[in-house]
Amino acid sequence: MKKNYLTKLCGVFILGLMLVSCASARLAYYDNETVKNLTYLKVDVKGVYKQYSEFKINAEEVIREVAAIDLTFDKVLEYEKAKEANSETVKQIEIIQKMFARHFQERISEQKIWPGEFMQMKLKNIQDAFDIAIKTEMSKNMKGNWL
Amino acid sequence: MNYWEELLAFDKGKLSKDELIHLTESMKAEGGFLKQQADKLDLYLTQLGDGVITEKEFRSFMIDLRDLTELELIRKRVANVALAQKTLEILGKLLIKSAIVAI
Repeated sequence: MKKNYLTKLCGVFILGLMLVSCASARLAYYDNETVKNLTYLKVDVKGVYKQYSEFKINAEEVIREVAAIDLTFDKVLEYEKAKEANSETVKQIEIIQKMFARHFQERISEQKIWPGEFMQMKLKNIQDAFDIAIKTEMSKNMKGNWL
Repeated sequence: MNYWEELLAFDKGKLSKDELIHLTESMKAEGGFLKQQADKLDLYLTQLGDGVITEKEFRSFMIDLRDLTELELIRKRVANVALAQKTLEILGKLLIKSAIVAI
């Protein structure tokens, strides 16, 4: 009788363990570093966009800054790729990086300074993109204490 | 396929009645993602009509909206999976706790 009871308890215990391990394998946990990286990148990008309406785009300083931000994107991307079950965040950062590169290409190919309002509209879109990625990270679960 | 058709036909299928109702309600919701994008689209169309932006620039804004929509879809998917993950975790921990208490 007691053996039967213990077997059932073990079954319940194993089922609990299985549920917890299944849950953790589905999605990466919330990472404060990701939020920090995205927030800092967002601020850096804002600085560059403001220059799109102020400077000649061929100015070496702007191109250097864009290259530095692109490198930071690559670093952030590699950091995210190293985590397990994190393909969604990786995809989001790839989309934002492409958007940033596309805006830069459009700016240099047109060879004209972006008027203030136009720049604000472009800036709003990339800022919104960062905000969605940050919100995505915030919606993930915290890695809680065990039991 | 013109640009608008391409933009709207994400799944190459027609929207069902329920989906259409949900879409229009979401567009009315103040502060919602769709409402924000609809307002932007309104602004871009006005500026295109007034000749403030060129067709090429308008297309670029449309690509921005497509990217933002894709990001939002991923965010919603992650939020749903996170909810399911939390439920599974709570359930699992409850089972383990009750097994330990019973022993």
